[in-house]
Amino acid sequence: MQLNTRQLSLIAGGLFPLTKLILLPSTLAHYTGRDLYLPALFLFLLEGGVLLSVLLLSSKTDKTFFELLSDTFGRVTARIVFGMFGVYFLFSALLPVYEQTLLLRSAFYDTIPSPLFFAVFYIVCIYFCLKPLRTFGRCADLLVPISSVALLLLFALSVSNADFSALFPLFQTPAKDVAFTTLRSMPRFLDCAFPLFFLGHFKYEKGTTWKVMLSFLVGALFVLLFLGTFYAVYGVIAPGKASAISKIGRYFPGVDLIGRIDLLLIYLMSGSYFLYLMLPFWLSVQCLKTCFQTKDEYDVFYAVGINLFVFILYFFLHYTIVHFEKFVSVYFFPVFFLFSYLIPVLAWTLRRKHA
Amino acid sequence: MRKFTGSVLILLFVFLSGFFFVNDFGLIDIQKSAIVLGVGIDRAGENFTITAQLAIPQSSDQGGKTSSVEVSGTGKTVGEALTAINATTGWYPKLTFCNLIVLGESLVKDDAYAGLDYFLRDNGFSDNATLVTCTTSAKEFLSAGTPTHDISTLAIEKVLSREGMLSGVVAPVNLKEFSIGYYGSSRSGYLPLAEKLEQENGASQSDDQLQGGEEKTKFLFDATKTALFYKGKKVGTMSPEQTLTYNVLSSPIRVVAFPVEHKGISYTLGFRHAKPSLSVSMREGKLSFDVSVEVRALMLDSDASNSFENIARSSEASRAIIDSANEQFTEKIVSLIELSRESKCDLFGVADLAQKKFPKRKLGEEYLKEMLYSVKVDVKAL
Repeated sequence: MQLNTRQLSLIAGGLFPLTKLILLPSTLAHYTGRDLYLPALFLFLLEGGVLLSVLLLSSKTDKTFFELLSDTFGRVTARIVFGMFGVYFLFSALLPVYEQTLLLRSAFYDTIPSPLFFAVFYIVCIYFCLKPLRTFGRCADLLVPISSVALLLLFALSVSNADFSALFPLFQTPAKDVAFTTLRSMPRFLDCAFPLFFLGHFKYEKGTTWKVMLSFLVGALFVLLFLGTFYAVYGVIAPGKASAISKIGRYFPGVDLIGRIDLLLIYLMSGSYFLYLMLPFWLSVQCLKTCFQTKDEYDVFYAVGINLFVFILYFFLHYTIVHFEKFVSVYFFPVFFLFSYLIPVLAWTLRRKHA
Repeated sequence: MRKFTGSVLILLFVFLSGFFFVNDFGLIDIQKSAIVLGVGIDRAGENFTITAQLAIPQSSDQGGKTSSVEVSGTGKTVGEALTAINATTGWYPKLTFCNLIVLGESLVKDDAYAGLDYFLRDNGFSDNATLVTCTTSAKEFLSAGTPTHDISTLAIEKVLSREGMLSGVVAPVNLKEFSIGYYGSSRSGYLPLAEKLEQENGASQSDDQLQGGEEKTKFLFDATKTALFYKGKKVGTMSPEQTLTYNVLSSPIRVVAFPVEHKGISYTLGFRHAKPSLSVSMREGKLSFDVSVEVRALMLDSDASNSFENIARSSEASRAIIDSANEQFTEKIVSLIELSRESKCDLFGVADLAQKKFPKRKLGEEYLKEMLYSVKVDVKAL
C-alpha cells in the first residue's frame, strides 16, 4: 500500500486548505463582504461530504477506481473516463499554478519578474510525476507539520491587528449573492476528487474515516478562521488584497524591530504549496497512462508533455489569467461539480465486489 | 538505465543552475536603484509633485553614515510623477522600503486620496507605511534638517512611533487604517499634523558646520496635533489636549500625562489602565452616542513645590484634584464630540457602531449633528 492513514490525514487537513488562502479571501470579500466565510463554509460542507463518501467506499472495497469502473462498465468505458479525468486534472491545475506564482511574486519580489521565474517548478514537477504515490505521502509527512506550524505562527502575527467587530453585523449579504459566490468559488474546492484516485492505494484501517475527517475538519475550520481574520485586518479594503497571506503578518509590531519574519514563515509554507500543486499533475499523468494503457517507461512523455502544456498555456495567458479565471469560474462550474463532486459520490453505484 | 538516469539528473542540475544564474546572481545595481525612505505628495492645480527622500549610502572613507537626498518629479498622476523622477535622475525609485508618506498642505485641501490610491494599488508598497500631513508643502517638510537624525524621514518616524502612541501624545495612522476609514461607511479619518519647530543653532551643530560648512537650520517635529478628514478632505484639527483625550478613548495607552488645573495650580496626572466604552443606543427616537471611560490616575507633578511627604506619596492624588480631573476630562471629550459634529468627521466611528447594532436603520447625511450623546467619566486615584 502506498499511503497510510496518517499521510492521508495530513494531505486532507494540511494540504487541501492551503490553496484556499491565496486569492480566495479577496475574491470572497469582493462578492460577499463581511459574510465571506459563508460560501467557503458551504463548499467545505460539500467537500467534506464527498470525502466522507469516498472514505466510506474505501472501507467497503479495496479495488481501485479503475477496477470499479471496469467491473461495472467495461475497460473501454473506464479508459475513456480516465482520459477525461486526465484532461480535467490538467486544466484544474492552471488556477492553483497562477495563484502560487502570484504568491511568490508578491512575497519575494519587489518588481514583476519574467514569467520564466516559475519554470523551475515544472522541472521539479516532471520528476515528481514519475514517482509513485508513496512519495507524496512521505513528503507530506515531512512538509505538512512544518507548514502547519508556520501557518499557525503567521496567524498569531496577524491576530494582534485584527478588529473582529468588522465582521458584524452577520448575514447581511443577500442569499443569491452568497449562492453565486459559492458556485464561482468552486474551482478552488476541487481537492475532493483526489481521494477517489487513492482508492486501492491505501490500506483502510479501523479509524481511518474519523481520523481523516477530523483532520479535514480542523483544516476547514482553520481556513474559516483565517477568512474571518483576513476581513478583520483589512475591513472594507479586503477585496483589493490579493495573496493576503503574504502580507497579513506584516502589521505585527515586532516586525519593525526584528524584520519581516512573516516572509520566513511563507517560505516554510512554500514546500507544502508545491507539493499540493504537483498532485493534479501526477494524477493527470496516471489517468492518461491508464487511459492509453502504456508501459511505465513512457510515463516521462506524459509528465513532460503535461508540464510543458501547462507552462506554455500559462505563459501565454499570463497577463489575461484573471479574465480566464473569471470565465472558467462563471461558465464551467458544472464541469467542476460533475468531476469533483458528483462522480466521486456516484462511485458508490459501481460494482464493488470482485467478479 | 541507471547511467541514463544519472546523466539526466546531472543535466537537470545544470539546467536548474542556469535558471538560478540568469537572475544575475540576484545582484541589485545600486547605481540604478534609488531606495526611497519617505515620499511627500503635493498638488498644484492638476499636477502632483512627488518628493522622494532617497537613501544615499556613503563609503567608509566618508564616515560610513547614510545620507539622503530629495528628488522631485511632477506629473498629472502620482505614477507619472514617479516616472518623471526615473526619467530625470536615472534612478528607479524602489518603494519597498518606504515607510512614510507626507501629505502636503495643498493635497489635503481636496480629496487626499487622489494622491494616495497609487500606493494602495502598488503591490510592492507596504500599506503599513505611516501617513502624516503638514502645515507646509511636503517637499519643504522632507527637506528640513533635524538634529535628532541625519535623515528627516527617520526623525519623523521616530516622533510617530508606537511609543508616542502609548504615551498618548501622537495619534499615528498607517495607510491601511486611513484607507479603511476613507472607504468605510463613515468616509472619515484622521492623520497626525506635523509642524516644524525651529531650533537655534548651537550645540546641535556638527564640527563640519562650525568649521565654516553650510549652516542648515535645524528643526524638530511636533505631531501632537491631529488633522481630521471627511471624504479625504481636511476638515478640522484636534489640539494636543484633544489628541491626548482621543488616544485615551481609542488607543492602547501606557501612561498619558494629562494636565489638570485646580485652584490656580497646574498638575500633571498620569492616566493609566483606561477602560473606554463607546456604544450607540436609541434615546427619544434618536441615535445616541454614549461614551463611558474609567481611568486610573496617579500624580506625576505640579507647578508648585510640595512637601516631602506629598512627594513620597506621589501615586496618590487628592480627591479634589481627581474631581477636577473628572470635570476637565469630561469637557475635553465633549469638545471632541462637538468638533466631530462640526467637521463631519466621524472620529469615533459612530456610523460603524450604528450599522452593527441597528443594521436595518439608515443614517442620514447629518447623523452626527442629529445624534444625541452622553459622556460618563470616572477618574479614580491609582
